[in-house]
Amino acid sequence: MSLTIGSMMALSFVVSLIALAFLIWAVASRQFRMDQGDAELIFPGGEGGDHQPDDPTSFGFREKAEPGEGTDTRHRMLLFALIGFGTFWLVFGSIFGVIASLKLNIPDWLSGSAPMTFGRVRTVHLNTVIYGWLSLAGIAVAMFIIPRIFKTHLRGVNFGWAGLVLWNIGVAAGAWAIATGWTDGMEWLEIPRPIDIILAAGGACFAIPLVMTALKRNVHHIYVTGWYYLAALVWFPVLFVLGNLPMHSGVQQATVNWWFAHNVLGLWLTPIGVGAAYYILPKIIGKPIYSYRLSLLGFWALALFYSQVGMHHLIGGPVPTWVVTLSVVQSVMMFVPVIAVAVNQHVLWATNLWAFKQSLPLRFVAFGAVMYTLASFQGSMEAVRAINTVTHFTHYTVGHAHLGAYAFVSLVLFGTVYYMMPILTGRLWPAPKLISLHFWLVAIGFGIYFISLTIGGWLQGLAMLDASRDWLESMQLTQPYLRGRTLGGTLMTLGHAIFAINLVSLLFASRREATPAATGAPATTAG
Amino acid sequence: MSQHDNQRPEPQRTPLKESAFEPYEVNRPIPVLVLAVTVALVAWGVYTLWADSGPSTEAAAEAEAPVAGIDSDPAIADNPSALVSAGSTIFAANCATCHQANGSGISEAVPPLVGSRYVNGSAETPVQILLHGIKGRIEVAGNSYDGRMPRFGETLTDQEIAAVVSYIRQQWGNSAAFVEPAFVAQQRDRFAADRGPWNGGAELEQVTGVPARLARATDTEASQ
Amino acid sequence: MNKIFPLAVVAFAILAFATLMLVILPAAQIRTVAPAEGLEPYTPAEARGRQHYVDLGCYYCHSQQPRSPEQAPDLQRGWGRPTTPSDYVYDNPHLLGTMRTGPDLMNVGVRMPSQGWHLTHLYQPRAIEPTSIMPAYPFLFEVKQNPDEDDVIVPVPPEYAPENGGTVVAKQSALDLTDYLLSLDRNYPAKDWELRDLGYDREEAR
Repeated sequence: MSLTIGSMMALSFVVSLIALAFLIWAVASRQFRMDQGDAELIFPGGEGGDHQPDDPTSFGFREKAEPGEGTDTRHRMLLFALIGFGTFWLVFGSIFGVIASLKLNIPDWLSGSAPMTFGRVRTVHLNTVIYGWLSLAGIAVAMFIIPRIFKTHLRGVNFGWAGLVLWNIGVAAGAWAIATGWTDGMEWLEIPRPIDIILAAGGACFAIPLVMTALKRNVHHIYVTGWYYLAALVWFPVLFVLGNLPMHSGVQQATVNWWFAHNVLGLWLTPIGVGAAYYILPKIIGKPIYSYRLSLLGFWALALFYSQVGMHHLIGGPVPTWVVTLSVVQSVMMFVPVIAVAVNQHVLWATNLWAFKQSLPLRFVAFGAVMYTLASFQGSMEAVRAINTVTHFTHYTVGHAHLGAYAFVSLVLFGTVYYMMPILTGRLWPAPKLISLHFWLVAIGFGIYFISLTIGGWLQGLAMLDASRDWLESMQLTQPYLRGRTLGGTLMTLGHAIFAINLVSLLFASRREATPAATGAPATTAG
Repeated sequence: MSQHDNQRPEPQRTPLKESAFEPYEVNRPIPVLVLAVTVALVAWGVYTLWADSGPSTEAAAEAEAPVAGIDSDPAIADNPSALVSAGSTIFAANCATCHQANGSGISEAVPPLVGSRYVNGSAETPVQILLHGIKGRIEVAGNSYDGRMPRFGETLTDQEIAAVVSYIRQQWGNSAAFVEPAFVAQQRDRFAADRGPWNGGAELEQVTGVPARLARATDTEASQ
Repeated sequence: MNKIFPLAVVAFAILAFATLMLVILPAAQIRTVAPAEGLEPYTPAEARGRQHYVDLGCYYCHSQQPRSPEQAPDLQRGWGRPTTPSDYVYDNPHLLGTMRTGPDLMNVGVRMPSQGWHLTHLYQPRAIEPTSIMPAYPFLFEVKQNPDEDDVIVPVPPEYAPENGGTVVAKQSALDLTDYLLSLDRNYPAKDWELRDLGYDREEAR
């Protein structure tokens, strides 16, 4: 038995390698036809000429610009609603995050009632920011970008509205259920199964318009962003349904739990973030992505390797060695797609640094793209047994999770929303300085947050491994770092409040022609 | 600092609309360096899988759950200081979580060992408590406790019990005599191994003669 | 790439393959393990207590999976031997945990066998360990001026005693939760040792 298991593990890796080799061969021998012709038809003149960053945030519109070319009113209203509710969940979830963090500093604060106990506040935070903010804003961004890269309008908008209603009911009911103690009891899968059905229905309603739009596309070639979004639309439903099936128990359930939880990051949130960055970076800078073949490598290697990394959450635990080792190896193999994406995206912005000074959305998106590279490198290293021994069970992991889900995905989404809203409304951000303030609040807040938890978590792990030190020391020494986390989290939450204020202020902004003198300077006045 | 510092020309005076540029990808080859890194990672992966899965199949079958404790090394049996130092390890592993590393116990829950008449009196009392465990009401150092302590008669050897009892009798200001393994063996033979835990201070009094209740004022180690 | 259908099919196939490796094959191996000798199903009270452990989110800070002595000093800390799938047969949902903001609890029933200790600790952890950052759970208790005969009285030190006097009495939820904690005992010999992660044991052996 054990021999066959060992060979199965080897088999899995070999299959992944064969697929990778085939992919590289196919790319090299041009099995994937590059429809450069299509692309260049769209933008005659090759690699972007001397023009302004394509960023209405900073540069305003042509006189009497019609809002949102290529979108109709219903489509725009849907996007506004998605972003509005997403932002509501962001602020709501961040406040719960700060409360949870404060509870580790002041444990007897708000301890009188069960819904406000740490275990529930923390869980409400996670579920509202993942399923409320990141998923809704991610869908909004997908519904903005997909029609554009396919040169058509969004189909099935009514399904989108149905999805919005169902999804919000699902998230709100889920948060309520967790607060009142109704939970499925697995990390990332806490929302009870009956409510999961509402979310599943809502998710299907979101997928239908996107798929319908993709099927009616007016371009031959699918831009790389489209691959990520289309694949994520296949992956997430499968994950969500299988992860929530009530047919698992014991340790076997733990394997399903982490297969799901890590794939939600890798095959749902990551495609949302990487896809958006792949579109917004070249769009604002006005120059193409470095290499089509690297895009292919990055995308398919992500699918191959990321989907098998989940068991690195159970290293040293009661699961068979082979499946743990398999996940460790696949985690390290994640360097391949991450380097591919990194070269593609970072070469573009790094050779066009001028655009940073002028475009605020670009700052968010490029910052997020860099954080994707760092988060993935860190994740690969963290899966290596020698490092995992220290970091497992510590706050280090929490810092890493926020590097991926927050500094990468959230910041890309912030930037994308800042980019798309003026286009959709035909209005300019009334207070570009507040955008800059938002950026610095979340960037500095996150810096404090991440550095605190990384150092504190590492020291915590070392103390826990040292038999000569009382276990209690490993908890006590984290306390100053946990206060640092609260400080960082508070700054981030303030940034989110500014984000919400910016969105509301856009509602009241007049649609007017802006003079570049008034709007072209925000980037340079930023502190 | 102003926008004129930019290498770019000043923004045009006429406001722009969104540009017609749509992102695309240039058909460049994959950089050699990326391929080299990929090959290196593949090599590492193959090695790790081979190294990790190779010995596992045989080793796993023989592996056994590790057991806590010290070896019954005859060299320490008669040596008080070796016994006490071995005792400190056993104490850290088995006792410190409840009785605390400094023997102070836990307020309202776990009796202290410091200044306890049960620890410092006749050696038979701590040995009997370790061999069989204890539950129910017990008064130590002026406070009353009502808990349950597991028995260690099965998990610890005579030598280990002698070591840990010697340790607690000579730590934290306690200064009772050390205990030899032979004494533990003798105590072990007095009662059936499965007799169950002692029923609080009351039953201990019947067996060892340590009074279950003292006048509050005199209930300290000094009075014993 | 210019075709949606093949893209979707291949993406799905890759995920299906990962599911086979990470879900189906491990399930085939460990789903049917027999409970270890010495492991008992939870009693109704313990099962209710376990539900409170789940809905109060205890498992976000407490793991239930001691590591092997080759990897970490968990055994020396009194957390017990490394566990195998046979030790979790009756667990649903699983509570392996990913954090040790608090100590591992796989064998807390062995380590802390006193009901009174747990009740006090749940009522106010800082009454027992002043630096603890564990939440207090006062809502699992009630304060009575005249406790009934069968009420379980919780010993509380004066500085944490109710302000208006009265006696702290455990509600059924606190008693159930304590029952569950006391039931956490994997102190019997391990079974199916080869079904746990032995990656560190081997590194030590090499």
